[in-house]
This record gives sequence, C-alpha cells and structure tokens, in this order.
Amino acid sequence: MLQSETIIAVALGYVGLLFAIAWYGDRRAATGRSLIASPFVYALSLAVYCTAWTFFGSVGLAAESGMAFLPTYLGPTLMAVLWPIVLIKMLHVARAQRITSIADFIAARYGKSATIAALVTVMAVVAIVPYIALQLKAVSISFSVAARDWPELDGSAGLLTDSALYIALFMAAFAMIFGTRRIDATERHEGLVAAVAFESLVKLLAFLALGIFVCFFLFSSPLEIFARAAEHPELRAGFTGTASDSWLTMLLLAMFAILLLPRQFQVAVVENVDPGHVRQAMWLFPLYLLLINLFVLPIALAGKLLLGADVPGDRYVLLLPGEAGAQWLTLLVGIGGLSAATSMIIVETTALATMISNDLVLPGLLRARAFGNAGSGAISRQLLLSRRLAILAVLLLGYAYFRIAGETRSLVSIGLISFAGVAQLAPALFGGLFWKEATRAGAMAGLLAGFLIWGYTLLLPSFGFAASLIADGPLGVAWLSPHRLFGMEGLQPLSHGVLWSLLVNAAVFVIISLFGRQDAAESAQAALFVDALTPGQRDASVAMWRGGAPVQELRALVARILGQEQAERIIGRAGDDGSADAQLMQKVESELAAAIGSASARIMVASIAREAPLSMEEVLDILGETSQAHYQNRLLEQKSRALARTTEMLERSNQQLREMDRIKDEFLATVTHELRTPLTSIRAFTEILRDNPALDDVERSRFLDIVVGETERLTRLINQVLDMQRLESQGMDWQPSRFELGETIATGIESMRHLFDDADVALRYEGTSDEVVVEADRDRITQVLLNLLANALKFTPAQDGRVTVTLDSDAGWARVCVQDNGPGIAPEDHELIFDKFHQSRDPRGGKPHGTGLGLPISRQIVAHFGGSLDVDSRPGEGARFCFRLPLPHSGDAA
Amino acid sequence: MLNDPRKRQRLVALFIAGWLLFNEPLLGIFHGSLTGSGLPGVAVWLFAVWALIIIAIGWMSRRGR
Repeated sequence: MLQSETIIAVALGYVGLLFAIAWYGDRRAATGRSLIASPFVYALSLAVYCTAWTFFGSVGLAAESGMAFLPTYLGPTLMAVLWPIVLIKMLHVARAQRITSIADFIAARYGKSATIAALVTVMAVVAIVPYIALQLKAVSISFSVAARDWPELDGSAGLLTDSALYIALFMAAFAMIFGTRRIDATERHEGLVAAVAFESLVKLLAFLALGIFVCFFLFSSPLEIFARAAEHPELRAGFTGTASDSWLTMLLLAMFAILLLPRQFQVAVVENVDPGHVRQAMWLFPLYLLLINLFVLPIALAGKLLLGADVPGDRYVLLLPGEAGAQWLTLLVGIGGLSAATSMIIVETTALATMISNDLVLPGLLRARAFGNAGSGAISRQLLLSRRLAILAVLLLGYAYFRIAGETRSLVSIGLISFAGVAQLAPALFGGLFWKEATRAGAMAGLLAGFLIWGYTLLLPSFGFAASLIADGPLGVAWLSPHRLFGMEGLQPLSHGVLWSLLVNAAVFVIISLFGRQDAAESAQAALFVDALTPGQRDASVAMWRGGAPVQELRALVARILGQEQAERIIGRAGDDGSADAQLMQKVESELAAAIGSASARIMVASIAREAPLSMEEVLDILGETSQAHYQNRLLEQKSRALARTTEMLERSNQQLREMDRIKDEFLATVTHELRTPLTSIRAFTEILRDNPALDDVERSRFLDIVVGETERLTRLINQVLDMQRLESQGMDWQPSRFELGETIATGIESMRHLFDDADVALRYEGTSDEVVVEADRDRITQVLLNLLANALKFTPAQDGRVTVTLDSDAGWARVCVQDNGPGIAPEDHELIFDKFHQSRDPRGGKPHGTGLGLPISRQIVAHFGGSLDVDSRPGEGARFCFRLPLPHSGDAA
Repeated sequence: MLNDPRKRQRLVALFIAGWLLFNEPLLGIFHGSLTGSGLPGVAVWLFAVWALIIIAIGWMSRRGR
C-alpha cells in the first residue's frame, strides 16, 4: 500500500510530462516539423481505443467468463482489414469536405443537414456518457485500491467527499487545456495526438510489465498458472470456453466502434496527417491490440488463484503486484490505468465538445441572431467558451451516471451500452458512404428509431429504478419489457437490444430511402461521398452558390469567426465593393466548415448569400458537366493517366500546382492540335483514295506514302508523351549495359542519313580513335542522339546546311556534341528550351514543331545515368547541343 | 493501393475468413479442450488466427502489391 501523497505526486508529475509533450508537439507543428507524421504515431494514437475498460475491465471479464473479453479487440482487427476500402474513402471525403467530427461527416453526407448534425451530436453524447462514467469509476477505484488512506468507494459518499467528483473536475480542466486551445482553420490538435500516442505506449508497457511479472515472478511460467487453474473445475470451465452468447454481438459492436466512437473518428480521420499512414497502421494497430491482450487471461487466473473469490476481478491488476510487495509495479500499473483513462477522456470530450459547439450551440445562437454585429473573433471566443463548458458538462453527466447507475455494474457491461449506442450511426454512415441513393429522411428516421430502441432496451435498464420495468414490462404489459421486446426470449439483454435497434434502424433507413427523393444539395453531396475515390472526382467540390454576396460581408463573416488575419488570407485582395463569385463563396464555406462544421458553415454563408438555393436541375447540370469532362478524358486514356499522376504530384505544393496546371492546359491544347494535323491529312488522302478509284499507281503510292508518314508522326508523338509520363512517374524500364559510344553514334547517324540527304544538309561525324565505353541504356542514348539530330535538321538553313557530330572523352567524361549552323538560340532561351512543352518557333515563321517534349525527355534520360545535357549558342552562329556521360571507374571496367 | 480490384477482393476475402474463423461453429471445435502443454485450446486458436491475420494484412499492404 502506498501513501496517497505519493500517488498524487506521481500522478501530477505524469500529467505534467503529458503537458510538456503536448506543448512540444504543438510547437513542432507550428514550425512545420510535425511530431506525429508517422504511421507508428498514427497507430499508437488509434490505441486510444484501449481505455480503462481494457486496462482493468478485460481482466475482470476474463476472470468471470473466460475469453469473452476478446471480441472487443478481434472486431477492430477485422475492420482494419477493410480500412483500405472504408477508412481511406472516409479520409479523402473528410479532407475534401473539411470535416471536423463524426456528426459533421454524417450531416455533410446528407446535404449538410443541420438537423442530422444535431441529432447525431445528441446521440453521441448520450451514448458516450456511460463510457465516461466507466473511466471515472476505474480511476476512482484504482486510487482507492492503491492507496492505504484513500476513502473506499461507495455510492453513499457525500457529494463533497466523493473522490470521483474531484477526479471528474480535474479531468475536465485537463481536457479543456488540451483540447480547446483555439479555434483553428484546421481543427487538428497535434500536441494532443502526441500526448495520446505517448500514453498508449505507457499503458502497453505497464500492462506487459505486469503480465511478465505475474507469469514469471509470481509463478514460474504461464503454464503453471494454467495447470493450477485447471485443477479447479469451475475455473477450468471458465477459461477453456467462450461462454458468451454475446460473442457475435460484441464482435460486431467492436467492429463498428473502432471507426464510429467519436474519439476514434477524431484520431483516425480528423487528426490524420497523411492517408498513406493507414497502410502501415492497419497491421500495427491490430498488433498493439494483440500485445495488450496477451497476458489478460493469465493475469485473471492468477488473480483468482491468489486473491480469492471475494475480490472483484476489475481490481486484480492493481492488487497482484502487492502480492509480492512490488510497490513500484503497483505505481506503474496505476500510471498505465491513468493513461488509459485520461487519454480516452481527453480525446472523447474534445470530440464531443467540438460537436456540441459546432452542431448544437452555434446553430442555436445563429437562429437567435446572437451575433448581430459582433466584432472580429467574437464568435471564435464564444465557440471556445462553449467548447469548454461542453467538456465540463459531459464529464459532470458522466459523473451523474456513475452516481445513479455505475455502482452496481462492471466496467465492461457499462462500456458495451456505449458501444451499442454509437453502433446506431453505422447504417447512416457506412450506407451513405457506399450507397448513393440513401436519403436524408431515411438517415434521419433510421438514426432516430435506432436511438430510441437503444435507449429503451439498453440504456434505461442500466438504471436501478428500472428493475420492475424489466421484470413486468411497462404498466404490466409483458411483451413490451425492454429485455423481451415482442416476446423475444432467449437472448442476453445486450444481444437483444442490439438486434432490435440495429435491425429497425437499418430497415427504416433503407425503406425510407428507397421510397423517398433527394433534394439538390443531398444528391450533390451523395455523389461527392460515394465517388470520393473515383479518379478525377477526388477532392472535387461542387459550388452550390450562384455568387453575388457582397465581398465586404463575407470578409466580415470570416473575420468574426476566424479573425482578421485569416479573413485576409482567405478573401485576399478581392475588392470590397464588388460581389463574390460562386468560387469565392465556396472557398469561404469550406474554410469555415473546417472550424465550425459543414452544417453551420452552410447556414452562415447562406445568411449572407440571400439567394434561393440551386434547383435540382442546376445541380445535375453541374454534376453532368463534371462527368462529361470525365468521359472525354477517358478517350485519351494514356494522356489522362499522365495528367492524373501529375495532379498527384501537384497536391504537394500549391505554388507548383498553379504553374503546372497552366502548363498542363497548354500541353493538352498542343497535343490535341498536333494530333489533329496528321489526322486531318490522313483523312483527306484516304478519302481521295476512296473516292477516286481511277487514280494512277504513281499518284496512289504517293498518297499512301503521305498517309504512312503522317501515321508515323502520330506514333512518334504518342511515344514521346508516353516516355515523358514514364520518366515523370519513374516507371521507365531501363536496360543499362556497357557499350562503345562511337559505334552507337555511327549507327544512329546512318539511320538518319537519308533524311539529311533528302533535305540536302551535310552531316559529318568526327569520332575519336579511343574506345569510349559508357554504362547506360543503349537504346535510350540513341534516342537522345536522334532527337538532337532531328532538332538540328529542323533548324538548319535550306541551302548550305551543315551538321557536325563530335565525340571525345577526357577526365572521366564522354562528351557528344551536335553542332548546326542554324539561326542559333538567344541566351535567355537556353534554359527555357528544356522546359516541358516549350516549343521554339520555326525561325522561318510558321507553326511550332513537335510537342516540345524531345529536349526535356533527352535531358532526363542523360540525367538518369549521371550525365548532363546543355546548349551553347548565340543568335546567328548556330547551336551546339552537348551531352556528357560519366565513364565507368577504371577499377571496375570489365 | 486499390487500383487493382483483385487487391480489394483479397482484403474482403481475408475479412470474411477472419469472421468465420473467429466465430462459432469453428470456434466450438476447441471448446473445453486443453493443448498438450496445458494451454486452453480456444485461446491458442484465437491468438494464432489473430497473429496470422496481422501477418496477412502486413503482407498485403506492402507497397507495390
């Protein structure tokens, strides 16, 4: 037994450490070097799933009914398998829609409905209150077990002498400081996530330490524990069976809970730094769960064997170290339990407070027109205040539940009520994510029905005063008893309640959706959610505004919520006198949504827009345009793929984005134009051939030659586009080998000679007597040479054209130059010509040649083998393109 | 990682397999049994399947697969 002063000192010291971590995490985030940008931290933050329920309650449940504790962790493992299908989609939607909470997510799916947001918020708060009570109970128990002079817990303690109340108040203060520091344009809390990840590590290590201690110090090995437990028939029956007809129910509930609990949604979706982290976290997180459960059964059996039947199983974890006088371990386990409880409470209350302030308080205030002409940042301050009060309120509700209902029940049975409550969100959320036809009315009715049945069959019976209701049914109507609805017998209360509530919930949701209609806003949002991963549709947003709101008012609105600085950033230099276009209004709505939720953001912008909402036809038009553009993209599939890749790269930097976007457009125009020219002549000549069967053979073969030539031109063009794409995406299939450069050049020159002869341009090769061996892809180097030759040919004068190719080597480099006597290139253009899609004008006037891809491709090829490609030229004196390749080190020359 | 529909299908298949292996009636095979070394059969089965699923996820989520 420890002194309570020691325990309090250690607990406060530990909380101090958490503050330090959170502060450091926030500071790193502010300087752009995120502490949490790693799949490991992401997986650890997901482990906020393991609360005091896991830490104390699993052992308690294992002591009572064997493996029944396990489905709670097997469910999330199964869900993790589906993350690439489900979670990735949610992450993309949440990014595009700037989602701040699970209520926001569901509301946004159904046309940013403020009613749904409010309903989900209420449901989440009511469902989570028992769960919060569980944490308070666990912490309170652990203090009283660990400390000799701590008052033992009982429900009759006076309010002011009840330690759980002080723990609740302390937790509230803790969560307020962590979770509601400011209203942000991105509602993310890096410091908080860092602290939570750290706590996950601590609770895992503490539990593993206890497990090893029990298995190898209290007993000689886990086998001894099982052998001794097997001597007791009643123990043996417990730990060798699953002994739970709620097994399937718990598996299902846990599967939903891992994404639907507000805190899980918070860490998994809202706080996610990079969707790519899911790839690693989807096995790291189940591994964490496996490790933290590995010793549960041995510890439970050890408790049974050593502590006797009278001690509740929830307390084994804290009492077992004392059996061998290991006070340090009692303290470590206490810290682990405290970690489990505090991380849950901080994240859960922060998530709930965000929902309450964004989806209940703010719409209420808006309706009451509470901010007539509030000054800059005024709403922001009110929101912060409402979030802090919400945290306090949720914790006090949790405390109240603990006083009324928590005394008699075990940790796990309290937690399962909450799990069943949040599972009611599953049909609306997952249905909405994969089923486009799901309607707001269906979601609304399903949520409400499920929530009411859950409240009646699971929440209500958890209160002591409902005992007679359970036994006899309301007013003596037995078939309405919350545990035997419509006379359904033979199921445990949990399975019974979950079956009825989810069944009715899903049925109502589907039926009303099938027979109802969506309005414009709904079907637009439905498409954005369900098609979130369709290429091209990703991150798209449909502007639902016509435009026309006064810029001045928009600016004032943003300033009131996010402050003057953000208003400047978002609205920029748009003139205050003018009216905003649809895009600007969309941008304002999206930025506001990141702070106050999508439903509230829509209401606020609508209050300024003073316009009738878009009609169904208009929205369909907008969506139709998008999908038509899509179709055209698909026609030029390869090009579209290149564009998609480019687009992905663009996401990384905004600056690059705009520049590349412009280039992309030009490229599209150029390529389309270039494709059309040969196509036109091919068509013209083939039509001539078709319509004039009497053409003589000479004419005919001349026309056919032209057609063949134009076809070759098309092929070349497409090949170049493909090459560029492969180079950009690192998908080029390189085949490096060692070869003699001089010979390769001579072959290349011969293949081009007839073109030069045709154009009457003299082509000369000055090789070197040395053997120049390089290591590169021979075909690609030939391609570079041919490219330079073709360029030179293009720009030599019609008479007296001369092109000279030289090869020499020295100081570890081989150098190949192609010199022409054309018009030359102005110095300021020397780098420009290597830009993608840059096209030199034909000096003789006329249209540009080629795609402008030849030089950039050549440069990238040479660069791949460690070389460089440059130009040396002055106007009027011709141009000299030289590329250099490194010679292999003499030491490893073959 | 989901450009290839077969990758999605593999994940769904793993999910269904896990669901079946973690539930009755397969689970019932080990009900009440002890392994040779005295460990409870149900626990050994569940943890073994669990570990295999984690390995399978890890393997399927490798880059480029």
